[in-house]
Amino acid sequence: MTEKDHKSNLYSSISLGQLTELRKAITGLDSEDLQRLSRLIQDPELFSIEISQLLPLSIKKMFERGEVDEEQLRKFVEQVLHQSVKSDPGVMATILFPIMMPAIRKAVAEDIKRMVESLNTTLEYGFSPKRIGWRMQALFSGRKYAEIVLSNAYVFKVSQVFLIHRTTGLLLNQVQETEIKDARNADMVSSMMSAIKDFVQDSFQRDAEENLDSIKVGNFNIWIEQGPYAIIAAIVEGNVPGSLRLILKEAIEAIHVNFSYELEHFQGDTEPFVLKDRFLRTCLLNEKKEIKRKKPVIIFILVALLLGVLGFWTYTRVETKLRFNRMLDELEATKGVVVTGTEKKDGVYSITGLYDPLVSNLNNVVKLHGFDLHDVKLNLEPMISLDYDLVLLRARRVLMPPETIDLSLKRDTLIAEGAADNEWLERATSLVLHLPGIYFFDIAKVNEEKMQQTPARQLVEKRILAIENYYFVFRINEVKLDSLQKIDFDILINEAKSVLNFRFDQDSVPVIEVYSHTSRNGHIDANKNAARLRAEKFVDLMLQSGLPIETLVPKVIFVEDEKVPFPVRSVSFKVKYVNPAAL
Amino acid sequence: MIKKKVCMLGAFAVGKTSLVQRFVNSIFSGKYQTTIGVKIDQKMVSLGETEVNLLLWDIHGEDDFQKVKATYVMGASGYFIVMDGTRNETYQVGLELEKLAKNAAPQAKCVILINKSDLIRDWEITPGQIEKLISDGFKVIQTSAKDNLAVETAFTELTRMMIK
Repeated sequence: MTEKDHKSNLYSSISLGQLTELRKAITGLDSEDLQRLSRLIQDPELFSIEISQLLPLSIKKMFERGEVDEEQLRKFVEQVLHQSVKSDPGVMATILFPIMMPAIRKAVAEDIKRMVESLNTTLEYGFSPKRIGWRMQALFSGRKYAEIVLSNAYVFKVSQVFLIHRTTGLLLNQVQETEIKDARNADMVSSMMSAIKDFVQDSFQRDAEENLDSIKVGNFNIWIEQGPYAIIAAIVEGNVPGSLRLILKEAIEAIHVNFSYELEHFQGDTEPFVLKDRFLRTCLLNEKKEIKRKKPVIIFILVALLLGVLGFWTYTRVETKLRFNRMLDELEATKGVVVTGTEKKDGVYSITGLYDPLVSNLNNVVKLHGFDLHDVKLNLEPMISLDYDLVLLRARRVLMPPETIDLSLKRDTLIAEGAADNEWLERATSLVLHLPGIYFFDIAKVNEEKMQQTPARQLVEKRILAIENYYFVFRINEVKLDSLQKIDFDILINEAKSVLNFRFDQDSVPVIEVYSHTSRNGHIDANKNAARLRAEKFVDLMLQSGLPIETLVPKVIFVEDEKVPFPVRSVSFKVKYVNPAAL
Repeated sequence: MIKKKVCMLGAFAVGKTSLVQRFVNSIFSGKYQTTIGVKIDQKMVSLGETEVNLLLWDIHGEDDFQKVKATYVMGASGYFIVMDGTRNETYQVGLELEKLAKNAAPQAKCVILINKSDLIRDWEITPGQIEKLISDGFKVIQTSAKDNLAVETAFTELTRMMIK
């Protein structure tokens, strides 16, 4: 019997039930399980469905046990992808198209935008000496010109950076240059920015891929960089380079990589984000250092210049004022000058007052004190000064005495001494009357040895005779000169002035007695009274013509008492020399 | 620190801004000032050991000219639907806004405030309508920003629901 026959005999001797029990005892599986396994083996589709349910769990377990790591998996995936692209690139392009195109479009747009911003900034400094300096710096340092421009041209500051949860608008974290004073306000700012972003997105965006990337508020620019779960908002001031955008982008990417779980499952707890703020701090850029270094020097120079100018201005003001006061003192001390006021307008001093033209050139006084005549205006009105020196000077100028004559002044009397001819004496006697401040002309010491026969004395005596020959007849109770009498009266007055200004000696002065003639016919007292009034009225006329009152003496005389009588109601004159004390 | 976004929703002039002002600044002004867009305010609420910073989005009232944008509600952890007890039409507007909010922020907690309880004699919203809200599962609180009735309670209650 062969072995085959032996087995066949054995199987036939064991029933089917016994076989089933035996199979279950050996494998632990019943017939249903075995049938299911058989179906799986025979049907690949069914088998792959079964495997697919186990595979993820299996891979997970493998990762947990360290049997497979990311590196091994990455290599495998890369190989597969590489093979796929190599065999048919079109398949992969089709798969990636919906993702790649928006990404490429966005990246290109970002790059163009950054380039334009960079170009704008560079052009702004393009034609300045600075740019030439940068070129030289790049040449000698071996650095790229763009780097040099970047490090010099942009002066900007990122003062604050917010990290905002995209969906809720809640502030996750914030960093700023200085210490945070009130972080709670930042929460409100964050929410408001989020609201603005939502509003803009809702109201103006045409494409879902377009995002609000900046907000301008006054001098501040808020640059926004958005990620899937969070937003970075940077408050920037100044001329910001386009490269900041890249830095913000990198920061938001890093935050998403490091906080992906926290961001996705954010429930309002900001603690994890606050503890790790290094990603935000990288955005706090500041390129103002060079300017800061330079500023104090410029300010120092400006302040020094300002102080210098201020000091110089003050010094010149004070010095000019002191000089002007000195000049004013000198002017006021000058005889024949009266200062009534000073004024300064538009930088020009103006002095008002009076001056005697005999005073020597006043402009010299101004120049001697270092003033230009444009700086000091003398608005002085002319006057006649009765100062002793000026009265004497005026007398010398007007009378022009010969060298042999010495003139001096004693109170109101001009005294002439020495020798002079008759012509000068005659002229001087007539002119001296017109000189202010001189009331008497003493010529007693002129040609003293021939005094008795001097032509001057003879002239005066002749005039006295002439005066004494004049008489004026008036109507009853009336003293009024007719036209002919007026001519005589004027001559009389001139003669009288000449005579009254002439003294024969120091002890006597001339006076004119004005006689009013009347008669004893009728009522004597009434006649006498009328005559007295006539005499007084005539004296008034003489006073009005400039004769001094102390030299005129009104008197009444009756024609009956006269040897050679004047007509009744007439007025005549007599010159007498009397002691001044008797006046 | 826990931060929560809370939205105030309701028809125009129901008292959303007044409730926020009463809660945040303890003041009430009878003068009506319409809200344009959104006004943000905040208030710290303490529940036991937990401090919650509520960021209150006071959103403009809904009327025929201004519809509330769903994006304003997105991300909110809670919202109030404010109704004016003296104006029955605000009841319906409130319910519509509740639907909008539910869509925009499905996880957010909701409290319905029937405001102006100081004028309860003039109320048009009936007890039956309020009962209906309660039976629909809403938390309903009657408030008065003017008399400071149940304002604090309302905000505390919503906070409690949000951090549960």
